[in-house]
Amino acid sequence: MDYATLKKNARIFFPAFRIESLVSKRTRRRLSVFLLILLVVALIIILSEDIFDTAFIRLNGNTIEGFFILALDALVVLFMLESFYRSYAFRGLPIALPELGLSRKRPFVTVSTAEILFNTRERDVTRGLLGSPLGSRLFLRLGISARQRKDFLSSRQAITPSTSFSVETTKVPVSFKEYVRAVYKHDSALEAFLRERGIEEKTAGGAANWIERQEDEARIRERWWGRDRLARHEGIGKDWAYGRAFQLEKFSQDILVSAKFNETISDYHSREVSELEAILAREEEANALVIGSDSSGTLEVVRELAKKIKKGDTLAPLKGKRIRVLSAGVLIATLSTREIFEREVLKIFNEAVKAGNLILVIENFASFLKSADVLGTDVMNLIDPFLASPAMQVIAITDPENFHRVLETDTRIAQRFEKIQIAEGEAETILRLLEDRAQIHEVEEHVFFTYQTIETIRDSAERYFPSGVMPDKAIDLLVEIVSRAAQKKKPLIERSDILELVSSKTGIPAGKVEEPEKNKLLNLETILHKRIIGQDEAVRSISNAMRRARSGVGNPHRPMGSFLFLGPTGVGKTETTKALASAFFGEESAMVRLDMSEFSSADALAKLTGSFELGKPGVLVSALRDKPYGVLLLDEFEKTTSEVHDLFLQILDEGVFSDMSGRKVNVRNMIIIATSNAGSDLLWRLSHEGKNIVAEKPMIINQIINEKIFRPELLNRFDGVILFHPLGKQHLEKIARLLLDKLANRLLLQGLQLVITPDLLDFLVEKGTDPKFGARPLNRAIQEHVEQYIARKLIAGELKAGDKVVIDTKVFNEGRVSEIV
Amino acid sequence: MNAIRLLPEYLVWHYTFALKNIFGISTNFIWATFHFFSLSLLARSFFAPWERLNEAYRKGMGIGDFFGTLFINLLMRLIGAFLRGLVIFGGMILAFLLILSSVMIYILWLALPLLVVYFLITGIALIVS
Repeated sequence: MDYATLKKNARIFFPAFRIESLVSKRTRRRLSVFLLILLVVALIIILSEDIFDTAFIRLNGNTIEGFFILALDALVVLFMLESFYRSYAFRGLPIALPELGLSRKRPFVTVSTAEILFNTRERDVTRGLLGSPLGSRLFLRLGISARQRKDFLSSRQAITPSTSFSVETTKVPVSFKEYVRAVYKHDSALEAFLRERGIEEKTAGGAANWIERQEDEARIRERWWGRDRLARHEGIGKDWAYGRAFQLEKFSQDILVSAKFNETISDYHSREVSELEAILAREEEANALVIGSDSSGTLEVVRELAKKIKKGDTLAPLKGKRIRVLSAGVLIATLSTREIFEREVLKIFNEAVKAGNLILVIENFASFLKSADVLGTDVMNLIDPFLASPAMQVIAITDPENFHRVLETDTRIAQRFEKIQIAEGEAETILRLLEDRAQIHEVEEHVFFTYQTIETIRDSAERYFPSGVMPDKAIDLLVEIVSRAAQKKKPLIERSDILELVSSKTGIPAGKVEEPEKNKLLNLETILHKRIIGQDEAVRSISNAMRRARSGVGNPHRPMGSFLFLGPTGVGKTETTKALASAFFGEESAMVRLDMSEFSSADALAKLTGSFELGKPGVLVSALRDKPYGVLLLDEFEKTTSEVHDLFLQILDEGVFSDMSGRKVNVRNMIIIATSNAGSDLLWRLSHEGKNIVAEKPMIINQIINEKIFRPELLNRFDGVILFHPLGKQHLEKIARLLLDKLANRLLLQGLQLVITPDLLDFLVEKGTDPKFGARPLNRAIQEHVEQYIARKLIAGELKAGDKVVIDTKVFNEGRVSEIV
Repeated sequence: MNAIRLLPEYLVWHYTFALKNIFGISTNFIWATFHFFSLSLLARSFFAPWERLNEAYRKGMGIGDFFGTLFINLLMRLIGAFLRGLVIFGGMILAFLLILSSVMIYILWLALPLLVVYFLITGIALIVS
């Protein structure tokens, strides 16, 4: 839609803005109050004329009356102007209940867009946006001050005229959001200005959407004569034709009792709400089983329906219905024996049927059944006739875990209840909920959220808090940041505050890369090489991947990094992983290590992700819940089953998987490293022939695929397949030195100084070289010879603190020291 | 500029859209009255027993019991009908008043621009005299 068309379509709102530009809303309001006071004063004087018969009144009586009439006149004019303003400004508002006299035709632009267009001059579109009140609010939400905005407007090199401006959208009406995005796209100076502050087109549009929503909500609230607002009052006699349920009232409460009545039309889980509505409106078996992992969110869906019913905006069979939540826990606790329990449950259900307008909600349905089972009652059997009858509607609520474990297997439940799965909120819906929450806190605690903060709260909750469900965990984060800000007396809550909070809660560095970490990242190769001898390719690939992940360039919907380490035993695969864990995550214990050869039986997958039959959580699941941030090491990856390989296919691709009960497990903050000695023989041969194994990589991988050890799609999912070459003599010597250094450090604690001689190194390399096991025999050689020798000397009292230990390797050749001891 | 355009624009609105709006708003209030007093619901269930308080006729009950139950049930229906009648009456009165005042507002609205001019002249005249 080009600018001229937009403006033409916006004209229907212009009369309102003409008033606004003449006398602003605020002035009109103040003027009205002033005139009212004037009127009252004049009226008092006129009425008291007879009582206080003063000379002043006698002289000026007519003048006072004249002022009275003029004030009244001005008030009437103001009223007319206000009506005129509202008549235009409230056009096209979203309303739920249809009204007479309102045009059904939707305008082509929203009122906020029209307001911008009204204020825009043809030669400068951007000034029209930024100079308007809406534009200034937009920039504040984006964290840009009024001064910065003005500086930008005055220092621009080029301006965007309306002739080169258009909004490319098929959506009607053209919203403020679309308009802002279009300006962003067309004005490269504005784009550069916002980009510099990390604001992308989508973010600018999102902030615009928030502001427009706030505007619309304010208008809906102001429109008190609308049917949506008038219908809020309950009314008289709604349940006179229905009975009372005294026993039931004792054990339940109305779902709307604790609810705040939300003014605006909420589309929170609108799909599920209408699904629930349709099920309950059936002729018989109108029972719903609502499955959702977040119990408060699930109840919220039911509450939305209750609100719709209260407004009268519902299907005919549900008109006049009331929804009551049964306190199943209280019921079980107070009714201690089977007989009393069964009698009371029957009484409650009978009452509900007799009352005729009650819909019963049973929370934690599975545990209700189980607790009743303990009393010896089969509740399903007891209430089955009610569930089958057309006179009764029940909403049972459960979480997915209990649904799978307890309810799914019961065929009676499948027969009587219709299932509704509550999806986790969509990203947009969550954002809207957070914005609403933020607004409440802004008023109550005098804080201010930028739009980016809200976005960050949502993204961080998703990314860094794998357990817990949306939107609860995001709201928790929001509430916590508000109290922190209040403590610090910091009214502006920015993106960095959230990242700081996330870091302090999870230990995951989420904010900007700070100095020590920066050094660590830039010098990761050097740090790793302190522990890893050789293996340059491996060290380089991993370091690069880590830098990508930490800078935020990496894909957030996959693990931080994933590598397959190929190579013979003892060449440093595990050591590299450990070195990475300690370099990047601070400690070696940030590593979750699974020996995949233990998962080679048919039930391998069940062992990893958990199983229902055994009621056991999976090894992988619990390990990741404990340590959601670190390195996941999968040793001997080739030894596990192909189902497990399939599982990792998904994990590597999406960064999440589901456990036995369908709950998501997040692997996005892990580096996954799988090791395997597949292809080692070939590696050996090539290395023996003196070939460059990096150049031969495709050949090696082909062989692994041909031998059907790994499928090509799995290999492709890894960020890198990294070859570890067999170790040569020069490497072993360095490793021997490294290991001896470690020993020397330990001895130093006892005051002994180990002297590492070339002779000792030669001896160890000779003893510790076994082509099959890489550097592993070296370790053993040190233990068996050097450590044993020193231990014997220590015990014999031949060594004491302050001594220098120089080992002549001849002592080893004379016979194995271990045999002497 | 805006101010000059406003007057004719306003007058056109006053005698076209505004009338439509007032009509819409008055129907809203009448609708709300029906909603608040549950008029259609109460009319439909006019003779239903009060809060479903009725006694069941049991098999083999004596003639005395039968008439006793019949009497109680009849009484409940009568109480229900009486109370409903009261509310319906109140609702109807209010609806009637609303319609009446809507008509008056309509007339007042039509005369309002003239009244404004009249008040203005009268006010000034009083002050000047």
